[in-house]
Amino acid sequence: MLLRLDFNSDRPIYQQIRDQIVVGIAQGQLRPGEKLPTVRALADEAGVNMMTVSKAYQLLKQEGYITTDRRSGTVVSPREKDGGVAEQTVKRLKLALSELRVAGWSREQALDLCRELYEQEG
Amino acid sequence: MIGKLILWACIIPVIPLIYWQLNNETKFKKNIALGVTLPYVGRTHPRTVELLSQFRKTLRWVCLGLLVSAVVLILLPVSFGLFLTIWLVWMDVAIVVPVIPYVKYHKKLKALKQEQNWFPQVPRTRVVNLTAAAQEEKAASPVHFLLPLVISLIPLVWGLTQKDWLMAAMFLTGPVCVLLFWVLYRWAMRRRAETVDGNETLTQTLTRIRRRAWRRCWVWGCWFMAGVNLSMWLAMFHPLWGLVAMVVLSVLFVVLAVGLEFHLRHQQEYLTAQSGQDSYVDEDEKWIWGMFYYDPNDTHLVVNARIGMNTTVNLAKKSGRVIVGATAVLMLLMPLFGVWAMAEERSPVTLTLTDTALVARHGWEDYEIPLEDIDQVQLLQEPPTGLRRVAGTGMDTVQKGRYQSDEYPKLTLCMNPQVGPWLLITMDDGTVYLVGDSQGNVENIYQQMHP
Repeated sequence: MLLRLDFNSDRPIYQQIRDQIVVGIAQGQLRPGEKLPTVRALADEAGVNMMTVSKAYQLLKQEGYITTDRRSGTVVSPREKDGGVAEQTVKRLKLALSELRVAGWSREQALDLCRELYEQEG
Repeated sequence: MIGKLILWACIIPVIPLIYWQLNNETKFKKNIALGVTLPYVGRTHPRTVELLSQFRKTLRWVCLGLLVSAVVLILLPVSFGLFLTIWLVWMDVAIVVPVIPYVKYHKKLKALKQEQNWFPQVPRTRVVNLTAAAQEEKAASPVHFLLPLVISLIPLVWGLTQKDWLMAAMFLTGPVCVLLFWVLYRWAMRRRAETVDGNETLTQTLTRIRRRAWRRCWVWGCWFMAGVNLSMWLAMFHPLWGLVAMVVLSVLFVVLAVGLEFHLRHQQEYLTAQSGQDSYVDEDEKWIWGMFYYDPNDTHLVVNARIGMNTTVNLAKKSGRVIVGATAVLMLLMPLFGVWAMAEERSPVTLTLTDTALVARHGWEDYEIPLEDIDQVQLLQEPPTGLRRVAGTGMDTVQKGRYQSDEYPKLTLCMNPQVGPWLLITMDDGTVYLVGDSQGNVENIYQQMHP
């Protein structure tokens, strides 16, 4: 799986790493149980500070996307059907829906877009 | 003349090597030619083909011109020092001149890329291969490095047992280099994966072959340094065989290393022949003239060169700028070494007798021999047979430093071999000096020492 880091973006690098790993999991590019690189290896590969990668991993761990094991290192967590959604995700979704409403979108248009994006993300 | 021919033979291969390397840059590897990344469609575009062909033609003429100048320069009837100065200036010119057409055509190709809008869909991002980073790299077995280390230690142990500290210091070079190569190899294993496009298998293969070539290069380097140490040891007893072994080893190492580089380039070309048709990695904006890496967002100082197995430094880092600047300054100052050699061969060797010591002087160096410690003085009309240099200067007009001969295993020299006679001085502690005077003043001094 490839990560594309944009150093000119306003979004912090750790956030970009976190987001793209989440997208990778959603799209099936990263399967449950798949091993992720160590913090050092990913920092080396990306040419970024180890703290940046560590921050991204901590976030992913808090949100339940990855788990860290002494023997197998960092791995993608198994997908839970009807699993809980992080409060942060609900907040972001609310904000996005509000923005669509302000832009004059109807409920159907917003749901169509959600459906389309959901299908795209596998 | 033999010295000049050896120097010429060492320098002249630079031209074919530069030609092969730059000419090879016109073949697309990892979607890159002349330091410009192009999509698959851009590679076969008539204007791209024309620019690459024009560059090859210009390069041929430039290299031919340099080769002709090299043949003319060997015929110049000048002293060794001047010859060396001329060749070191020529070397600087030979390294810089072929790069000028490279930069010119790189810029033209880049302008064409801009004009045709040959950019990937997601430009200005750093592509990071998560899968490749997750793979654990298996390091080479320590045996590969330990064996040459042990072999390179043999001459050092001999030097230490002989209590010959100068030889021991010389033989220390081999083991130190082997250890250094080992460390550099381990350090270099943590490099970025060779991501060209979204093809994971291709990335893994390219990364693997590059790391394998890198490992081989350092392992061969270790064996080469062990061999050089043994050759230096052999030269102490059989100078000719030692020299032959050194030359054979050097030629073999250069041929293997260059062969390895070109083999890797060929593999990169073959494996990425179909790449760039969909999404691909384009990092052109981080490479000045396609050859100098500049990325302020990259924490690395040393990074992979784009093609082949070489490495380069990140100029966005202060240490990177210092390394490149120091290398450039050293290259430009290289001819000064020839000027120093000229000064050395032109300054006379003088021998003076004071109340307390006999002083042999050449340039900035003095050899002061206390008279009270002298055991025996002999006037030689011919220098000792089998005189050969161990460490120091050996020119037509001056020989100084540590030497050995068939009769004397340790000799300290400061003399002009063309102007005799010479004084062979044996000290109370067994140290032997062979000194002379460029003005032929030796007999007078000998008479004064033996009234």
